Amino acid sequence: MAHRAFRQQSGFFGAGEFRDRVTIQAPMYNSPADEITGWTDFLATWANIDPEQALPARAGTHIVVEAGREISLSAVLVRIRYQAPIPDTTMRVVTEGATYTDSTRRFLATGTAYLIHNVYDVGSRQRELHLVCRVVL
Amino acid sequence: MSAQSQLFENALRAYLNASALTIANNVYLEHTTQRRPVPYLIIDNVAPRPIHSLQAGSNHICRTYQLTVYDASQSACAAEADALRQLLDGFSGTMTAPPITPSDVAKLYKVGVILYITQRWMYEPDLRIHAFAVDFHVQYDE
Repeated sequence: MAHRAFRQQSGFFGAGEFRDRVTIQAPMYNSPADEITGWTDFLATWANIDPEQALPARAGTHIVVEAGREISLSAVLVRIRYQAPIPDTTMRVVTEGATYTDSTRRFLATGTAYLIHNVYDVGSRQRELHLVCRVVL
Repeated sequence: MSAQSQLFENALRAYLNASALTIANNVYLEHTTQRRPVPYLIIDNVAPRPIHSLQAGSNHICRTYQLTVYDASQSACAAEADALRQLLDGFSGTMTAPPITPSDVAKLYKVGVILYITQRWMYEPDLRIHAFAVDFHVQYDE
C-alpha cells in the first residue's frame, strides 16, 4: 500500500508493474445500433490486473442468477499507462489466453473479457488510467 | 433414490427439446448453470389460474407459464420467440414427461389447450444478451 501511495503521488511506475498483455476492444453495432454484432481491437497495451483493488462496494465475487442462469460477478481494477484515445465504458478488456487448472482439474485455455464500467485519469495527471471493470462468467 | 414426482414442466421441456426450435435441447426449468451458451430457454411457473364452478373445482389444472428465450442477437431472439409462439399457441394434444431417474416412469399429460397471452422484451446488461419472455396459459389434466 505504501508503495502504491508513493507511486501514485510521484507518477513513478515500477519496472514490471504492468505485466499483463491486454487488448481493449470496442463494440461493433448493427445499423440501428441496438445490437452488438462483434468486437474490434481498439488498443493493445500492457496492464496491471488487480482483483484485490476493486471498488469496495462491489469487491469480491458474487454468484447471482441473472438472465435465467447462474453468473459469477467480480469487480476488477485494470491499470494502464495513460494513452490517447482514452478507452470508454462501451469497451471491454480482453486478456491473452492463459492455460491453468481450476479446482476440478480441468484445463481451461481461454482469455477473459472484462467489461469496462468506468475510466479514471488518476489525479488528472495523464499518467495512469484506472479501468474499473467487471468480469461476468 | 426414490422415484421423483413427475412434473408437467418436464413434459413441456421434453416437447420443446424435441421441436425444431433453435433452443431445442437447451430448455431448463427456473434457471440453468454458469457459462451456458446462447440461445437457451427457461421455463418459469408464474401462477395457477384455477377455474371453479359454482360449488366445486373443475379438476382442470390451469397455469400461466413464462417461457423466456435468451440470445446474443436481438433479432434472432425475437424470431425465436415468434417461432415459440407459433409452435405452442393453440396446441391441444398430449405431452409426455420422460423419466428423470431410473426408477421413474414416463407420465402422459392431456393438454386441453395452450394459449399465448403476452410477451416482453428485456436486455441483460451484465451479460449483454437479449431476452423475450413469452407468457402462455396452459390447461391440462394429469
